[in-house]
Amino acid sequence: MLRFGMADKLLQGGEPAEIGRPTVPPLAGDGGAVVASTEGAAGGVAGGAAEIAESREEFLLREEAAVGGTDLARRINAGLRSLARSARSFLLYDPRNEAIRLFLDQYRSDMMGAIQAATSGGVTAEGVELVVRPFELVWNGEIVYLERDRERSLAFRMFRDGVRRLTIQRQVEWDELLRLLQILSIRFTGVRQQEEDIVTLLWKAGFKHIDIVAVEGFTPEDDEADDEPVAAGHMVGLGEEELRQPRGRDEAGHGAAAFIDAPLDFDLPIPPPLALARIAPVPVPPADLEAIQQEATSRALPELSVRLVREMLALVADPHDPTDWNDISYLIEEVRDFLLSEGQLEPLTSLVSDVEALRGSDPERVDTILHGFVDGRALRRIVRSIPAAHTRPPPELLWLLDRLPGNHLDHALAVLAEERSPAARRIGRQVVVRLLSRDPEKVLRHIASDEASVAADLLRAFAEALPARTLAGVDAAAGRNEPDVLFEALRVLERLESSPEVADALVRLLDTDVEEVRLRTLEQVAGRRSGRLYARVLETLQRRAHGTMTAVEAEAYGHTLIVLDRNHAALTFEEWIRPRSLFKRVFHDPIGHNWLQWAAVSGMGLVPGEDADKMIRWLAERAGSELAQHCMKTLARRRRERPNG
Amino acid sequence: MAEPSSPAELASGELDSAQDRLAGALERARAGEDRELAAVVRDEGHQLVRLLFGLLRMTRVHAVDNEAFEKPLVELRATIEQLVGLLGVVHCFAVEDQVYVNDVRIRFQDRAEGGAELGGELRRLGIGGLSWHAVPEVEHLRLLVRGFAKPPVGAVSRQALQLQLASAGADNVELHGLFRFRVSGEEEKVEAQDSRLVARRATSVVDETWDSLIGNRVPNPLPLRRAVTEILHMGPGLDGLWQDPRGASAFGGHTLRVCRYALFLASGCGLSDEAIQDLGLAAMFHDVGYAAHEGAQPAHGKDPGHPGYPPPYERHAGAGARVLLRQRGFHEAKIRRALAALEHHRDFNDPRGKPSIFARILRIAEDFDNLVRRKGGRMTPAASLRAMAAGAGVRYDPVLLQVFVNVMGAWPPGSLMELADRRIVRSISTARSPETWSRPLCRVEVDDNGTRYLQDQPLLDLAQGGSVVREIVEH
Repeated sequence: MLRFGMADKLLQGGEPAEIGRPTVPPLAGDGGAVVASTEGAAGGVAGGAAEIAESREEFLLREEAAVGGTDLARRINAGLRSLARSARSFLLYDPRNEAIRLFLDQYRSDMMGAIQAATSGGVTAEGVELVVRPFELVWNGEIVYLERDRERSLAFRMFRDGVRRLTIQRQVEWDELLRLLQILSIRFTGVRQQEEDIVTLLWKAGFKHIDIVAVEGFTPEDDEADDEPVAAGHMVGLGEEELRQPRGRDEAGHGAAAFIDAPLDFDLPIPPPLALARIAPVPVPPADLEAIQQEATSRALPELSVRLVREMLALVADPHDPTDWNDISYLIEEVRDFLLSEGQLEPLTSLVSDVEALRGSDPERVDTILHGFVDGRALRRIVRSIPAAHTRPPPELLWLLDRLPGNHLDHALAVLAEERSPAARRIGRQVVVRLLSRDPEKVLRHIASDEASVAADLLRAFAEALPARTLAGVDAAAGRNEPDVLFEALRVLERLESSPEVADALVRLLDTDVEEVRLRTLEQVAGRRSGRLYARVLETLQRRAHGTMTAVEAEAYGHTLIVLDRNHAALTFEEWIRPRSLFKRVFHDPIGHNWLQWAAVSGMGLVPGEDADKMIRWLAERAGSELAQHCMKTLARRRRERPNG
Repeated sequence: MAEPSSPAELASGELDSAQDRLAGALERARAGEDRELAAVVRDEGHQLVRLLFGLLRMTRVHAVDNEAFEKPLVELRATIEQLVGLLGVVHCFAVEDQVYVNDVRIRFQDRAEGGAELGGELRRLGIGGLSWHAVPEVEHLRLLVRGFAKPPVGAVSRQALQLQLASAGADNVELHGLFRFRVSGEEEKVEAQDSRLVARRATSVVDETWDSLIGNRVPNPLPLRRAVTEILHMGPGLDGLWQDPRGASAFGGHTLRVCRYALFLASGCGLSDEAIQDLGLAAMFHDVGYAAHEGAQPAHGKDPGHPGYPPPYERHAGAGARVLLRQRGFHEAKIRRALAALEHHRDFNDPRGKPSIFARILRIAEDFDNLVRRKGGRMTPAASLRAMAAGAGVRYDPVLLQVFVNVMGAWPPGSLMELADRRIVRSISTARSPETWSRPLCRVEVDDNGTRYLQDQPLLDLAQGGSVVREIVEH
């Protein structure tokens, strides 16, 4: 496929000396690293200058030189640079990225502005006509675009494909400019570029206000007669004199060792003749034509693709036909990937059924092919293609997962780890729920080690899939200190009936580093009102009071203990507030005792009766200012809440 | 969703919609191409160039049967195998100091890796690039590399090396010469397009494509697509296009005619420009199944092998699809034309289901030409239409067939008629309107006093006068 310019130096008339930036060796491979630009915009320094390194992103997005001797030329240049930059940006960004949107906006503004300016001032009445040269675009004799790097250059891409003139008329619409960008972007970014080029794409577009003049212009450098058939892959610009010689089928005249002409009886026998019928011009109903037209639109493509595979599979199955799996395995992959990217799950399942039906002919091959329908890549594509409004995995996806063998759980875990959109994560999680029982231990390991939000999702899935083993999931999560995971642990615990194991889990959560989690745990503990928890919560408070604690937490402890066991709590609090032993009252102030008293005041605040008031008042008269304030606030609240004031 | 209330909101909405449309179009156009594909091609391409350059360089100092060549040859084969698996056909071209693998530029950390020098090495034999259409054997690669050794061991030219490779059965590697852009005179060439030249070029490309496919190469649709675009641009009904181009093979002529009938039919149905172009290309490829070899045996050592034979009629359709599917990459046009090649001889009421729209169109175009051509039914064009009309609903889609009848007219192009005034005329136009359906534009071949015109045949518009008394059977 000889579509791009080779040996540009041999252009007739000579090529202006290239003024390029010095060659710089890239520092690494392609993945986002440094590249060398060996041909830069005009105006750079040739040879001997300091080396310049830039990332691939910088390389692709760096704007071409601003050229143009007049204001109009500069505006056209701006429009063309926007066009080129936008087309190149698809090499870096996903088409739906916000960055693309910005480039589109700029392109629209620059290009429409340029066309209007150029066609309203009387200079160019009908449109902007650009002459396409290998590295330049010329308008009205002036260079309005210049870029010599073949990989970056808009002019080069067009010239290579045979475009020699591009005219954008005054009445051009935004849709047409967008389509022009689309065509150029495809040519910039596609790797398997065999089907179409800019000229054929532009023709297909059927523009009303954009015209091109195109040639095919490759000739062999050596003009000696070549006995070989000219390699297909390029349009040879054969002139009249070159075509004068009839194409002989002299077998000696061609170099290929194995040359076979089309059989003389091609397409024969013809179908048996039928009696002649009358013919007449009859208008065809518009509805019939409409139906024909619909068949030729892209909407039919999924069904046609599956049908082609089905037909080729039938040939593979036919013992008289030489078609084998090697001939069609790539087709199956390509159709599969197309259906995946379009979210066409129903035809995808048909395709699977068709392929499966031939398993007997080559089980290993079929299994390899089928594996690609639910591997990580496929699963990701399916999940991404599901509309955001959908809350459940589509039945076709579940069908695939149930039917086809593979490490589906691993793939689902990977999808969940990678996808960021809430919709994709929701679906991913539900898929994990479905598959989890295949290897719960693996999921537990992921809960313990994956990134926090992923681990939280997995814990939720675990509890949903294996409710009887929820505590195992909580255990795996409890060792972590990220709020996401711990809150999820609390959520799943909330759904469980009280038991010693649940108690253990909750108490364990009281020791996390995240205060908010501890507070919510205390809330949940209080909500359970289980006296069994009293001693353990008390012990935890006593231990933690010596470390970091806040007033909020101490209060929560106080409240919780009273709820769990009022009588014992009241006795304990009384001892903390006003120890019976005089010695303790006077001299004992162990570290942490302040927080214990704080908790005690909060707890006693919930105990009705004058005795509680007296106790709190007693402490208020003796405590430090903060604790005293806490006592006074508690007393004030009690007064407010007391019936009859 | 609330309606946009301000110009800014409106513009923003338009931009969102524009981005959505663009994204959808690009995603579909690049279906199957992960963003990683280009990176992988770059990496593997880098490896390919490095190995190839290294091997060619080694021929300057070592004999090719030296053990030192073995490992890099094996690695080179493995790399090509990777790339063929991804791309289908691998093109490696050196342009000045740059190297491209399938349009992806390969960059190098330092000059010692060979990027810049590969071109120089290839130019020793006047080679601008290489294409691999399938995974080569190590022996074939050795032979290729050996070609760069000094004569008498090495080859003396690109052509000689290509012959050596072909003789050894390495017909899936293609050596390209150095090319240049044609610049001078092209403007004039574009302006003065001659329909006959267009037709000859089209059949020439068909024949070249045939040659390529015979050589087990991957189909390259681009040249044929260009040819179709040229025909469409000029108008498929142009006078000069109706005569078989001089020097065209029977196969090439048939292919071109089927293409043009199909284009007419598609146009008459109101298909989009996109669909018409794709259909034209499908028509150009519809009989490539005959290029497939059955029973082919590659050459091996002293065994010259066997070129194989074209498939019989019953299998040529399937063979055509098989050949077309050598091309890698998902594309709507490829799917449609492979299906069309497969189904284009099926009846409309085939028990396997109604054939695809392209196949049904090609069936009509193909049968019409096969009924008319000399080696086929040898019927007159008008009689062919009437014979086909009898098959409406069974062999042929009745709607499409009626459109075809409407478009071709009572006297399709090529019909030879005798008029009431004894002039012999040949139709050169399809139906220009329902009113002139049976009164085409013609060229007078014999005038009313028996004078035969061999050239500069006068035009006669039957819409202006003249009536047909009989059709003349020529064969």
